[in-house]
Order: sequence, then C-alpha cells, then structure tokens
Amino acid sequence: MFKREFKVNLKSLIIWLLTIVIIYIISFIIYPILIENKESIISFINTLPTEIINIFNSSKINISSVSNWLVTLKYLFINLLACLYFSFMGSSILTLEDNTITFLLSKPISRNKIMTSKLLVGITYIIIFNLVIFLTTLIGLKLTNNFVLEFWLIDLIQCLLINLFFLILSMLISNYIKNVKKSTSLNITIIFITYFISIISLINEKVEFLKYFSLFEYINNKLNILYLVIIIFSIIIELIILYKGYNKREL
Amino acid sequence: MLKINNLTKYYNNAKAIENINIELTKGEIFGLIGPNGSGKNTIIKCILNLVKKSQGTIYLDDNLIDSKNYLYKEHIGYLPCRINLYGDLTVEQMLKYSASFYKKDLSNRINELISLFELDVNKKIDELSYGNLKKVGIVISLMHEPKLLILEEPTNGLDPLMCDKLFNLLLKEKKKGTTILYSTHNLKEIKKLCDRVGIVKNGNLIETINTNEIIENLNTITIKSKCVKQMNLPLKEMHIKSMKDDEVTFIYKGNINKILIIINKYKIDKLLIEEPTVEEILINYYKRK
Repeated sequence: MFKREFKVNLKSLIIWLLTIVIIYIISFIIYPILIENKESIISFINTLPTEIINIFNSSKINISSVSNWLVTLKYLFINLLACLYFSFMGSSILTLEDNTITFLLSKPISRNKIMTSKLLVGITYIIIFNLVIFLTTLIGLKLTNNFVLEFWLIDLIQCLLINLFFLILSMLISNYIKNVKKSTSLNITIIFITYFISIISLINEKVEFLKYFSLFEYINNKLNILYLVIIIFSIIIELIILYKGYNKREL
Repeated sequence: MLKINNLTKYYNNAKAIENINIELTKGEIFGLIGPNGSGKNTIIKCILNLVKKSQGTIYLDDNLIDSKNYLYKEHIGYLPCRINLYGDLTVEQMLKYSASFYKKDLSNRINELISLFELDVNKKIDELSYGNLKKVGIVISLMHEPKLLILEEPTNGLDPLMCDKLFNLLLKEKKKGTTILYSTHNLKEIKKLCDRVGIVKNGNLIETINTNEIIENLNTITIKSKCVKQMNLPLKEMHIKSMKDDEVTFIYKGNINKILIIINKYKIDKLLIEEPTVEEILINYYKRK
C-alpha cells in the first residue's frame, strides 16, 4: 500500500521540488547583482514605514551574505510554499481515496494500517523534500564557503516538524470535510492566517504573544526548546484526533 | 454461517435499518430486494464494518464481527454496486494489488477468472467500459474464494453471455459451499439463483420467503375491454397499476382462474398475463405489510 501511495503522489513532489530548486538556483545567480545594488536596495527598504516593512515581512530581508539571502528567501517564500504543498498533499491523500475506500475496507486490513501507510508516505515526502532543499543549500553555500552546518540543521529539523504539522492538520480536516474544494480552501486559509499572525506579532509588541500561534515563527534557525515542545505536543494531539476520527468515520 | 441479530443503524437520529434478523446457511444464496434507499446497502455496510452499527450483532462462522475485528474480511468477497478502482493501474496491476491483501497465492485462481471473463489485463482501469470494470470487480470479489460473497447488482452492465457465465460460476461456488448475499432488482436472477429472498422496506426486513413462494400465484394482468369498468374484479386482492377507459393493468395475488371466470362474461379485446417484476413483487408485499 505504501508503494502504491508513494508512486501516486511522486509526480507532484517532483514538480514542486523542481520549482523550488530552480528558485534556489536563480537566487544564487542573482545574488551578485543584488550585492552590486545592495546600497540602493537597503536605502529603499529604509524609506518604507516600519508597518509596511513588517507586513511584507521585510524586516527579515538580509542580503549581507549569500547565506543570509537564502535565509530571507526561505522565510519569505520557501517555507510558505512547502507548507502549502504538504497541506495540499495531506488533503488529497485522503479525499482521493474516498472513491476507492470501499475497495480497501472490504479487504482484511485495519483502518489504522491504512492511515499509517498514508502518513508514512507523507513523512517520507517531507523528508525527501527537505533533504533536497538542504542539499541544494549545502552545495550552493559550500561553493561560496558560506555553509554553517549547525544553523542549517536546526532549520531542517524545524521545517520537518512544521511541514508534518500542516500535513496532519490537512488530513484531519479532510477526514471531516469530504469535499476536496472546501477542505483545500480551509487548509490554505489556515496557512495564510498563521503566516499573517507571525507578521502581526512583529508589528505590535502588545500582541507579540501571537507568535506562539504562528508556526512560521518557529522556523528561526535557533534551537528553542519551548517552540519544539509546543510543536511536538501539537503533532501528537493531531495524530490522536486523526486516528480516532478515521476509525469512527462512516462511509 | 452468517447470523445477523437485531441489526439496527441510525445515522444521527434518522433510522436506516431496524431490528434486522437474517440467518444464512453454508452454500445458500440469499436474495435481498427492496427499492433504493430501503436499507439493503446499510445491511451490507454493517457486515463490512464500513459503518458502525447502532445495535445488534453479526456473526460470521460463530465469530462476532465488531469494529475492532477486520481479519474476518479475509473470508468475504464484496462487489459493490458502484465500482471504484484505481484508474491509473492496469487490470493486471489492479488484480495483483488486490491479491496482495491475502496471505495465500491467488495467481492460478486469478488466471482462471481472467480467461473466464475474457479480460484484457493490459488495459488501464480508466480505459475500461462499465461492463469490463464490472468484470474486474467480480474477479476481485471472487479471487480469494471467500466463504461469504456479497454481490450488489452484479449483472448491471454485463452482456447476456457474461451474465450466463457469472450465473454458472455462482452456482458452482454455491456447490463448493460459498454463501452468497445477492442484492438485485432483477427477478430472473432471483429465480435462477436464490434459495430465499428477504424483502426490505423502510429499513425493516418485512419478509423472508423461499424464492418459489415469492412469485407463486402472483401475476401482472392487463385487460382491454369496453366493459372493463363493469367487471366485478376482486379489488381487495389486487393492486391497480394503471387504469384507462377501456384498459386496466393490475397485480393480482391469488388463483388466476378467479379472474378468468369473471372476465369470461365480457368481450375481451386484449388479455395479458405476465410474470411480475421485482418492483411489482415489492408493491404486492408492501401492500400486505
């Protein structure tokens, strides 16, 4: 079952990965141009009001080194894209099976095993996805002698956990909302709300506590035990609800 | 072999089936008839644990079927009414995938069934006609030689030749001891295959009878005569299907001679005595219950 599920989703994984790797390669290519115009870019950013800078998460833009430039890129696009991809995947992995689930459940196989197979495929994809990005970063930064292993390893672990959180969340939503369009819309909405919560928490110190509700804030390349505990605890809760819900699901 | 006791299922507060009691013996073919939405499918879903029963027990070979138990499905073959398989796989891949859920080697049996139903194994599931998809579904349900075979309208989409092949195969399986739960709207199939029939109405099993009893003394009669309204027909024993100025069609349960004696006094333009359809049988039983 794992093999079949793995094959079914492979094409989309390759497309998303290729897109992100191309973005990475382009970012390496354009970095020297950015550096040439560094002063004018920084002065332009400085002319913007703080609120605008925060809304576009521009406070995190740092082009002082190629490594910082990649971090910026990851904060602004890659993490968001990755979360969106795994959210789509989690949603489709269950809803696409809706038609064929009668076939599966008429076989001597438990619902837990079906769910575990799907989850394992998702986890394998998350690992492949993040490893490819990690290796691309490693190669790129090694070439420019900018690679700091510890920094990017923390980033890798944080991304794995956040992607897993969104994958399970979208599977959970799809378990209750059978309509693909509705469940996908809800998933996207949640991701963007979380993304903007992280921005709002930056704008105003009074609502700084909101950062705990935005998982995007958790990807900050710093080892934060509290964040780690929160995310792992959330994933465990999600898993319990997912398995319980799937076992109770009526077809 | 299969014992269903007081099976009840409510979806939220809506009743789907209530107090269903069925007992099937080894090698029996049991027909399940009833209009759409009567609860036939819910009974099957409960047996397969696709939905959780609200009350009651189901035993397969004296083993209780509950939500935690799934290994009993090794002994069940199921052909749903609407077949949904993996469109990206070829027939061969689909059959192999289905066989992978069972412990024993099924390759010989699969090859036998493939040649019996003349399946092109290299075609993709998505490219199959409805009839061929049905054949794949039949092979999947039979490949592991189940003790209990559940079939929902298996002949839908099959040509007459394939229907005959299927009937012969099912009768062969019956001889081998396979118990078959056969849900259909087709009377000919019931007559040909089933030992007993259960009639389901509004979620209740209103009657379980031997197949030969179901159509005994039950006929659909059409009389065309200018005097049709003057005839003293036994209205209480009949269910009028249609009535025009000079023509009446009704379902009659009883001795046909009684009608012939009544109409003998009048000039008859047309007299048609037909075997009832499943729907007409249902109407007759529903009227009585």
